[in-house]
Amino acid sequence: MLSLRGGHKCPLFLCAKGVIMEHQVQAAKTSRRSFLNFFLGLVLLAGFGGAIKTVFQFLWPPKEIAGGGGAGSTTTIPLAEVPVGGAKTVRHQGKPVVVVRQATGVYAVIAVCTHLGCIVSWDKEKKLLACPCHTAFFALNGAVVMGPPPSPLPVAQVKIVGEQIVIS
Amino acid sequence: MEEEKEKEKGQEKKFEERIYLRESVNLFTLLTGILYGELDGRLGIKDAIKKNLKKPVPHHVNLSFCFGGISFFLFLILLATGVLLLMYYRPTTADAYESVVLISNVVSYGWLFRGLHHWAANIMVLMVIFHMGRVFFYGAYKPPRDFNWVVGMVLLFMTLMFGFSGYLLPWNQISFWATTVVTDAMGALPLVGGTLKYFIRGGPEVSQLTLTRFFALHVVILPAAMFAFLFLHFGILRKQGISGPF
Repeated sequence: MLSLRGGHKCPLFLCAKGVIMEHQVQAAKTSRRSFLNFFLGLVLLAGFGGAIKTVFQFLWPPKEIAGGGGAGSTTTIPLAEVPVGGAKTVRHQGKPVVVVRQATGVYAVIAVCTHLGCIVSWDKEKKLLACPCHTAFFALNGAVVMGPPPSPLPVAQVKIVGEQIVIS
Repeated sequence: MEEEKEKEKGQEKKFEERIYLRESVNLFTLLTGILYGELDGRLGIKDAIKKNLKKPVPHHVNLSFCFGGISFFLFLILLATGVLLLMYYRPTTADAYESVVLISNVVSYGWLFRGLHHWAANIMVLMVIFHMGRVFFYGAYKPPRDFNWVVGMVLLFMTLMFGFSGYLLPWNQISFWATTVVTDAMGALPLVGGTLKYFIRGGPEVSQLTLTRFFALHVVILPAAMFAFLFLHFGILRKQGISGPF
C-alpha cells in the first residue's frame, strides 16, 4: 500500500492527500475538501471532453461534402445528360472522370493526365481526349496517341443501366 | 552558505524519495486539473479565480444585476458557435441557403450549433434590453457612470446590428424580405435616406453585394468592435464599481 506523508494511510489510490497535497503536509481537515475538489475537476473535465468530442464530430467533413465516397462506391448520371457524341466530367471516388458516349458505347476515363496531372477533356473534332497543358492526346481506351505522357490513362468500369450511366 | 547547501541536500533527498507511482499520479493531476496540479503552483490560477469569485458585492445587489453578465455569457456562446458555423457557411447567393440546410441536416451536431447560435442570439437581445432597463430604473446611469451608459448604448446598437446582419445570412425568403423592408425603412429617412439605403445594400436591390457586406459586418467588423467596447465597458465598471445602494 502506498504510504503517504503525514502518516496518513489512504484507503483510496487517488486520495486527495497523496495526489494534491504533495508539497503541503497539512492538517487532515483540508483533505476532504481537496478530495472533493479533485473529483469535481474530473467531472468538469469529462464534460469538457464531451464538448470537445462534439465539436470534433461537427468539424469532421461529412461524406456528402467531402465527395467521392470510398473505394467501391459507384457514381450514376442520367443518360440524358450525355448525348451520343457528347461528354461530361464527373467526380467519381474523389477523382474527375470524363464520360464519353459514342455510337459504339459509353467510355469512362480517369481525366488526370499521367504527365503532369492536368485535367483532360473530350475533343469532339479529333475524337480524342486532349490535355490542355502540353497538347497530349489519348484514345478512349486510355492509350497515348500523341505527346509526352509516360503511360496510358486508367479507365473506369462503366455501363448503361436503363436510363442511367453507372461508373464503378 | 552551509545552510543553503543543507537545504539543497534536503531537496535532493526529497527528489529521491519520490516514487514513480507518485510521479505518474502528479502527471495525472497536472493533466486533469490545472486548478490543483503543478501548474497552479507556478501560476496561482486557483487563487486568481478564488479572488474574483469571492470578490464581495454590496448587499443591495440582487438577481436583476445579472442581466449584463448573462448577456456577456451569451456573447461568448455566440462567438464559439459562430466560429463553428463559419466552417461550413458559404456567403454567396447561390450557395448560402444550401450550406445552411447542409449544416442543419447533414453535418454532425450542426443542428445543435446552429440552434444554439439562433437561440443565444435571440435571448441576448432580450437580456441586453433587460440589462438596460435595470440600469435605467435603478438610475445607475447617473454621473459618474454616465459615460459607461453611453458605451452600453453603443453595445446595444451593435447587438441589434449583429441580429440584423445575421438575419440575412441564411438567404431564405424571410431573411431576404426582412432585409429589403428594413433597408427600405432606412430609405425613408429625410435627406440621407436614399444614399444610406443604396450604401447599405451595395446597390439598388438586396443582392450578392448586400450578402457579402452583411457577412463581413457580422463575422469580422462587429465582433472586433464589440470586443473593444466590451473591454471599455468592463474596465469602467471595475474602476467605478457597482452602483448603489439606492
